Amino acid sequence: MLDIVIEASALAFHPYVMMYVFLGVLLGITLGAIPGLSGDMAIALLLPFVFFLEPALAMGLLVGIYKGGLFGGSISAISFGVPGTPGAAATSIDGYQAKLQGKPSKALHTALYSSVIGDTTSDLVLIFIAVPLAAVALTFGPIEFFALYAFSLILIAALSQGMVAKGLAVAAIGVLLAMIGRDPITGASRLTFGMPGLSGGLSLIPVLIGIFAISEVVFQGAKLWRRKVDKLMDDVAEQASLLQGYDISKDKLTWAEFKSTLKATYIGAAVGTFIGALPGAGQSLAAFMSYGLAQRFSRRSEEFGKGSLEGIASAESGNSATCGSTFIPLFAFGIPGSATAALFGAAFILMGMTPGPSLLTDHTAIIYALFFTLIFANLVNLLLGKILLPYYSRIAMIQPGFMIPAVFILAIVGTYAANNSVMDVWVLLFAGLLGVTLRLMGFPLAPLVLGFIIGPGAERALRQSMIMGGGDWWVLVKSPIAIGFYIAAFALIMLFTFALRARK
Amino acid sequence: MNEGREMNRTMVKELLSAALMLTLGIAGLLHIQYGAWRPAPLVPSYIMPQTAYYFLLAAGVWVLAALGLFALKGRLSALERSGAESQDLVGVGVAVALMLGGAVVYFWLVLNVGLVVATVAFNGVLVAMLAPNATYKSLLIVPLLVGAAVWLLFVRMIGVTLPTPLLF
Repeated sequence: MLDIVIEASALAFHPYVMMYVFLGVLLGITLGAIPGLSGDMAIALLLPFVFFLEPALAMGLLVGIYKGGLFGGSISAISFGVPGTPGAAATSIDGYQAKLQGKPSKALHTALYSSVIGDTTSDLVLIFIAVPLAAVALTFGPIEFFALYAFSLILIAALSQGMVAKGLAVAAIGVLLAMIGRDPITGASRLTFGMPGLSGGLSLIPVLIGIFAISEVVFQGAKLWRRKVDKLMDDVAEQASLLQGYDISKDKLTWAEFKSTLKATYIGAAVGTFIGALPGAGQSLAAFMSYGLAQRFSRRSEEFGKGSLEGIASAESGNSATCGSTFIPLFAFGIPGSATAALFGAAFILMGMTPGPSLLTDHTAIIYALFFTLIFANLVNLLLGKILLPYYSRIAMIQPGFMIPAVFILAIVGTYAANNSVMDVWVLLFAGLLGVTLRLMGFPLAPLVLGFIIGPGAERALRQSMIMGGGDWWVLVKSPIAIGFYIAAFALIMLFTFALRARK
Repeated sequence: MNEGREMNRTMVKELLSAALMLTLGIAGLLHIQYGAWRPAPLVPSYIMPQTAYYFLLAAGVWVLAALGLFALKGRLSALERSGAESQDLVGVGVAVALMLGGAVVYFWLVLNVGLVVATVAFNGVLVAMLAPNATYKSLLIVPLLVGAAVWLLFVRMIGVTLPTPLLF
């Protein structure tokens, strides 16, 4: 064990890896601070580059972007009332009010500290829970695995924006996309519609970049075209003028103020860690639930919504605390519970590592190095945030009109470069069009990606289970663990349906 | 007036969604019924796609049933998601044509004319069309910078393999 820790430390604290973490955090905060761009989009765009990097370097970069992006979203939420990422929507409620009251520095520092505390709590839970859970997962057979896949798909579909039917439909579409190519047992081509280029199946990179990044970029392009940004920029300039005559020396977060936010921060850390471990629940839900609970337990609940530092701390801590725990299902069972985890799962696959319990046994040093990197990235986030906070607000004023075309071109060339495949570029554009269409119709996208990633595993588990049961469907409910998963899925859907109703 | 238009739009969106799910589900099941699927031992090889098609059909019926139920109760407005942003369909159409359609032309140019030239040209067009405050100066500088960044990243650092281009 000590050998592994030493080897992992050597990997994680190699100067190059640390440099990539710094770079990632800087990039993540910058992109997260620009409304419309997010850490997830940056991770999707960087997937092709993962091929060309050592696993430890790639992980350092991706972890840095992820963590930086989460905090970056709160900068534009507080500075301009425009959440840089969906998870920062709850932060903008009190953050923007605090800024309007002349306390932007206090608000930003509260967000930074609570984000780092929530994130670190979540990482520690991941480190101590993922390994024992993975050991349990190694005892699972195909029936239990199929139940687990079904549990994840149903849960992520049901919890995505509260639209069960559309979530299930889009997860089914994801599974169908994963079926394109060769049948794993008979080897026959299926769903290729006579196109030989599809017989190898759809690659992960074009599908992920197309669904997440291209569809988002097209929507941003549509907004730009309508010159909606003009209004946003005018608002930003108007709001920036509010800071004239602002005295930063009166806007420093005091120790007493920081202490007063700790209870809210811990509530956010606990709620975010729990929610993050559930497939599909997501950062927004974690932030809003943390905010609601912190308000209920606060002695100054009447100040929530009026620039309360506790409100900012709870929302930001809840949002960031999903960061580590969202990897628990990925590491323990090979199931990405969120869009970000799906992107990390894709990165593991591209680096030749299969997400799941075997990841911890086959690549122990890399995974432990990743654990160290997760904690180290929090310190980098804190350090860079502290030093560069005064400058970050200006980042949010970079014109998306210049960024969006560059991002779009990088996505196309990056996808081609990953495999030097022209087919991948057409798949990317098709996936982008599919993403745009589904978003227009109000479908959530995360279940599609989850379906696409776990589709092959689910098919293998289903077919093996059915062969074991002699073609009888009842075999799927003959294991107590499998029954437990189905009951847990039902119970969690009920719990969150009621929780969401209460929030409304 | 606006509320009524929004509700109509939600109705159309939900009906189109249901139509998409049902069409995909039925077409898939017909494909399984009449397509050439290689026989597999004990469990048919189409079992997973078939399950997915059943889910699509069930989801389509679910959406239609929900629409009917809400219409009967006169509560169609409850279907509108809170906080949902109304989409600018014309804007999205223009962006799809400009960006996705343009990408097809761009990649053809990359393969035939050259990566850097195609990138500078395509970026210039996109900036001109999308950046609200683009000036002549920015139109000259930004595409060149993006072209240089793409060359540095993909040609110098990664060494991407492309057919021999006509230009650069």
